[in-house]
Order: sequence, then C-alpha cells, then structure tokens
Amino acid sequence: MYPMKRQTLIALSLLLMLSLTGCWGNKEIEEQTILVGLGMDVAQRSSEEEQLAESGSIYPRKELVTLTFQIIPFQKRQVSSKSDKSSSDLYSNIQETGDSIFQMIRQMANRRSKPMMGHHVKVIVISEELARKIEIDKLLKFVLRDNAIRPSCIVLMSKGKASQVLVSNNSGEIPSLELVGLVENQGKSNNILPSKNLTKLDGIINSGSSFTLQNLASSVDEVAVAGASIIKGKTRKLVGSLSEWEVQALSWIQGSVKGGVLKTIDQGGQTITYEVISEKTKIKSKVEGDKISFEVNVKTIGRLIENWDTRESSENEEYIREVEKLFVRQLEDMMNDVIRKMRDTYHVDVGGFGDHFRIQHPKMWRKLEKDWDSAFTRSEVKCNVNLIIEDTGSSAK
Amino acid sequence: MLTEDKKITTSQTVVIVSNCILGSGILTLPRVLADSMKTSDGWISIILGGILIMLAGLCIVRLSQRFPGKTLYQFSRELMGKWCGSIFSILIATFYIFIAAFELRVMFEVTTLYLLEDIPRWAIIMSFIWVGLYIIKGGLGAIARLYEIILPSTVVVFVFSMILSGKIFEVDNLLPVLGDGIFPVIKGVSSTILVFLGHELMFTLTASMQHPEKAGKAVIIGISIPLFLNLVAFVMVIGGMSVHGVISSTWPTVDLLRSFEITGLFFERFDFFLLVIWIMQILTTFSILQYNSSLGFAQTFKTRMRPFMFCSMPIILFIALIPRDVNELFMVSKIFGDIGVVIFVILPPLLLVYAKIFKKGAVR
Repeated sequence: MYPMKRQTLIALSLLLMLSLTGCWGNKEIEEQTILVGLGMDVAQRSSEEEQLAESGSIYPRKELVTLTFQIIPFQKRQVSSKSDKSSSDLYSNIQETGDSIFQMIRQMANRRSKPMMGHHVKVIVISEELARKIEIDKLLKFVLRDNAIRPSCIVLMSKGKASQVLVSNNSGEIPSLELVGLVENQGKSNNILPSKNLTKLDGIINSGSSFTLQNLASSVDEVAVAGASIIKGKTRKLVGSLSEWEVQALSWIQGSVKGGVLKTIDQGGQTITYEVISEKTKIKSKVEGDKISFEVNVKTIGRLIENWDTRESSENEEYIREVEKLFVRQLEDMMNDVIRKMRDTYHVDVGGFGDHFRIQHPKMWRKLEKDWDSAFTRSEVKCNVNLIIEDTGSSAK
Repeated sequence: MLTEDKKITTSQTVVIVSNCILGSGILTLPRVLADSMKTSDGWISIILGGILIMLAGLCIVRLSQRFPGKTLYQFSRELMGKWCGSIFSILIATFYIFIAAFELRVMFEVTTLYLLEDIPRWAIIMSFIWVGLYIIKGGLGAIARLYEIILPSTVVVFVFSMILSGKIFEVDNLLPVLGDGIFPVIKGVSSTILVFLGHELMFTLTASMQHPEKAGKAVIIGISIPLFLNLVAFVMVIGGMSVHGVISSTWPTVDLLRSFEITGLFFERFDFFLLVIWIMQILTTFSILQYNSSLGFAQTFKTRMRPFMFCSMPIILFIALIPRDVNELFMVSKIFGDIGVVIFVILPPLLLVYAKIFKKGAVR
C-alpha cells in the first residue's frame, strides 16, 4: 500500500461513520398517530373544546366547520370508561372547530403530543348540512394540495352528522376502514354508486358539471349506505338527495350495475326478484335544431332468483315471458322517475348524459357546456329496456 | 481503464439520446397539454411533435456527417466562420448549463414535495451535482454504460406502474377524438416539442460513434423510446384523471399514481417507484447536459474538459437556486425551451441547406 494513501484511507473511513448513523430524519412508528378518516360538520364546538376554550386555549377564528379526526394511535389505548363511542381501544375521534382545515389539523399539535400523519387518510365524510352551506371545493382545497394526504382517498356524504358516521359499536373495528369496505361492495348491490376519490372529484368539480356523492346514514348501532347527495356544478353546493331506490335507477342509467337485485310484484301481489348477471347501457343523443333528446338503451341478462308465487313453475316459458315484462316495466318506471327528479325537481344532470353528449356532439357541447344543467332540463329522455331471464338458478320448479 | 475518447456503439447512442430526452417533461406534459388544448387530443400532438423532432434529428445527423469525426463545437467554425462559429458554440454550451440547472431545480421541487420534506435545497441539489460530476469524469464511455443500465429499468418500471393505473382508467375521458378539430392539436405540438428536446446531442455524439453512418437510425430509435413513454403517460393520466382533473394538478403523472392503491400485490403504492426511476432519469439528463456543455467550452477553447466540469458546478447550483417558486421555474424553463426549439429544431434544417449550397464540409 502506498504510504500516502494510508492517510487518505483513514480520513475516508472516518467519513464512512457518517453513513452509519442511519436516518437522522427518522420518525419512530410508535411515536406516530395515523389519521385514517376526516369528518366535516357544521361548526359546533365539542365539550372538550368548550372546556379548553374556557381555560384559555383559544385563537382567532371564524367558526365555520367542525372537523372530526379519526386517528389510530400506535400504542393501544386503555378503553376509556366513558360510554360514548367516539373512541375505542383501536381508534379515537377528536374534534376541532375553525375556519381553515389546515390550521385545524395543525392545531392538533397543540392538543396531542404525538403528531398526526396524513398519509393514510382513507375517507372524508362531509355532512349534508355543511355541503348545503359551504361550497365543496372550498372544503376539499386543502386535502387536494396537501402532499401527505393521497388523492386516492374517497369522499362520502352523511345524512346526519359526519361525526356520527365515524363511530362504531363493535370493538375491533375502525369505522373509516369499514366505510371504505362498505362502498366497495358495489358488485353485490346496485344501490351503491361507484366511489369517487379526490382525483376524480377534482376533475368533476373543475369541469363544472353536477354530480352525486354516496350518502351514509347512521343509526345508534350501525352505519349504512343511504342514497346519494346531489351537488350542483354551478354553485358547488348541495341541492338535494336521491333515495336508495333512485340511486339504483341511476346506476342502471349510468351502466354501472355489476350485480344486485331488481324486485317487483306480480299480478297476485307476490314478490318476484331478479338477479342481475350482466348489464350494459347505451345512451344515444340526438340533436334536431335546438332540441336535444336522449335514448337510454339498457340491456341486461339475469336470472329469476325468487318468486313467492309458488304455484307457478319457472319452467313455464309463458310465465317467464310475463315476468320479464313485469321487470321491464318496473325498471323503466324507476328510470323515468329518477330522470324526472333530476330534470324537474333539481334541474341537474347527474346521470352522465352530459358525458355522452360531449362525446357524441362535441361541437354542440362547446356551446352548451357552460349551462349544461339547464340544457339537460329542456331535453327529452326515452328509456328502453331489454331484459332477458336466462336461467332460474338451480331450482327448476 | 476508462478512456475519454472511447467510441460508443450505435445502441449506446440510442440509449444516451433517450435518457437525455426523458427529463422533467414527462411529469408535467399531460397538464401542459391539457391546459393549452382543453381537449384530450394531446396524444396526437405528442406523435406529431415526436415525428417533427425526428426530422430535426435527421437534419442534425446529416449535418454532422458532413464533418466526420468532428462535433458541432469543432465544425461550427468551418460552417459559420471563425467568430460566428465560436460564439455559437459558446452560446450552446451556456444554454446547456441553464437547462441542466433547471432540470435539477424541478427534481428538487418534486423530491421536496413528495420524498424529502425537510432536506434543504442546497443539500439535495449539491449531492446531485457531485454524483453527476463522478459520472461525467469517466467520459462518454462510462456515461454510456451507466445509461445502458438505467434506461431499461426506467422503461420497465414506468410502463408497469402506468399499466397498474388502469384501475382508474376511463376511456370516456379520452373521447371524443378531434372533437374541436385539428387546431388545438397543432397548438399542442409546440408544447410537445419542448419535451422532446435532447435529440440535438447528435451534434456531438455522431462524432464519437463507431459507425457514424448509422447515426440516423440511432436518433430515430432514440426519440421513439421517449415518444412511446410520453404517449403512455399522457393516455393513462388523462384516462385516469380526466382533462379537467389534470389541469389543476402540478405533477399529474405523480398524482395519477397517488390516486390508487392496489392491495394484495406486496406493494400498495407505486408513486414511490416512479419517483425513484424518475430521479435517475433527471440524473442522466443532467449529467449528459453538463458533459456536453463542458465539452463545448473545452473544444471551443481547445483545452482539457476537467476545469470546465468543475467550474460549471457552482454555476449550475447558483442558477438552480434563482427561480423564486415553482411557477417562475415553469415560466423560465418554458422560455429556455423556446430558445432550444429555435436553435435545435428550426436552425438545423437551415444550416443543412446552407452547408449544401455552399458545399461546406465533406461532400459525398
């Protein structure tokens, strides 16, 4: 070894020690609390906040929104003896009121020793009451800009308070993750709309078209899907909601049915049920002068899964044809109902008609784009259903 | 040992050109296109822009082939006269320093947003510059061999993560095709050309090729690889996020990968992979630009390259720190991109015609 190189080597190996320190920007995972869900409500201070404010923890703010943070602390908590469901051993909900979402999140640093990290936010729940008052894009501006919260997180609405949805009675359950699972059940049930994550939602809001968001209802013990909220593109505020029944019709129109149930009654008043195997919707738009018309063609194949009129044999071709007609009428009624509601009650297009029109008549669309909702209100929609009962399952009689 | 004057093979030329083109553009192109066109037809602009750049690349190759074994910096004096040529060479070398600096700054902006939040700006940029220096010190041969490793992994990882984003892909977002006619597409071409700049490397690479006669083929393949990747990126980003969603996203390609999670594939999130390979791409773009700039100065002043490599380091750092914020950075990059278009897309055909008319260089 060259004598000169020796000193260089020693100096270099000393430098190597620097790399042995590991990450000096590290954060111990036990020291973190993970934010999994966000609830947004109309401002109403929680009792803790009241007490904190009384004893002096106060900063200047307009009280517009109350946020509910659902966090998972890494170290298991002792179950508090309090009877409320806002915390269990797995999660806890904290509330903060204010006028800037970011400030409220950072305000948590004043209240908890372990900082919250936003990388795992799965769901944002906004209460209908709040969406009626404040534009949805204002509420979501922060989460879209933030570099920690991923745009894959989904947005839901709640009929009641969002903080009520983010609770669970079962121990061992994290409400936010439950909600995500619930909305992913779309394949089994057609009254759940395809979920909208922040990216999709941002695109829709920017395009200025009206849209629906999945709605949730909460009872004392449970949270369930309950129709959808309609948000008008122009005002970006909530204008109304659709029932579960109407959402089902809407998913037939949008062609997003992947399975699920269609139920009606036969002449004798007995229940008959159809299980959807496949479904395809084609929407054709026509322009004649100033008049726009749509033709919705639904094609579906499925099976007769239940008939309570046990005297009828499902092997009977005539009976099957008759039942098919009943289902077709039912489906057409449903779809016409929801279209009427969109057009005449709320004056919005949330059925995706605008998208079809944009693709089929791009030139005309550019003219109507700005005020599509009212153009849709003036249009005519016709629904045709082609329903085939392919089989009757494993029971022939 | 690595020698500085080692000749590179044709495939190495392809790889170098591709790596140089694949820079910061792929992360922002979908937004730039969607924003300027307001339609989803950007993919047509990308193809047209790519073809245009291929033609410009061919002109550059033809021009370089007229001066065998000489780079632009050496033959510019023959072509334009002593003074004009030298000034032109120095301008181009300086231009490369600026572009290299802006590439670094874009790299910093993205890493600081998504990866290394608390690391100071100078630390990220400086470590990059040092690594870059290490690469280019080895000469073109070493650069080529490193790039040969980086490019395949880039293509594989990039295409793989883009395919995964099929989960949120909606073909309706890409329709209608040419709904607003051809005009927006032509408008978009000017943006896509900026992304494909890098073909001008042929000015210097042709001279170092083992088979300079294959340079034309090399530049076409070299451009078609980034053309393909940009096309995939654009289609998947618009399909996943829609034109309106892309417009409001600063780094749409990263945001696309942040918009979905895949459970049951060992990894759930794929934005990380994209960022890793993309940082390597910035490194390749940066280092070849710095190499070319040093080469330019050295050959113009007929000295060694080393001093210029070291001297350009602090200058690059300084320039990279100039833009005040992201918007200013985008604005300045756009201006420099436009200058690049003039020098490397509009000028070469003119020079070629000029050389042909006045019979400059070896006439075959």
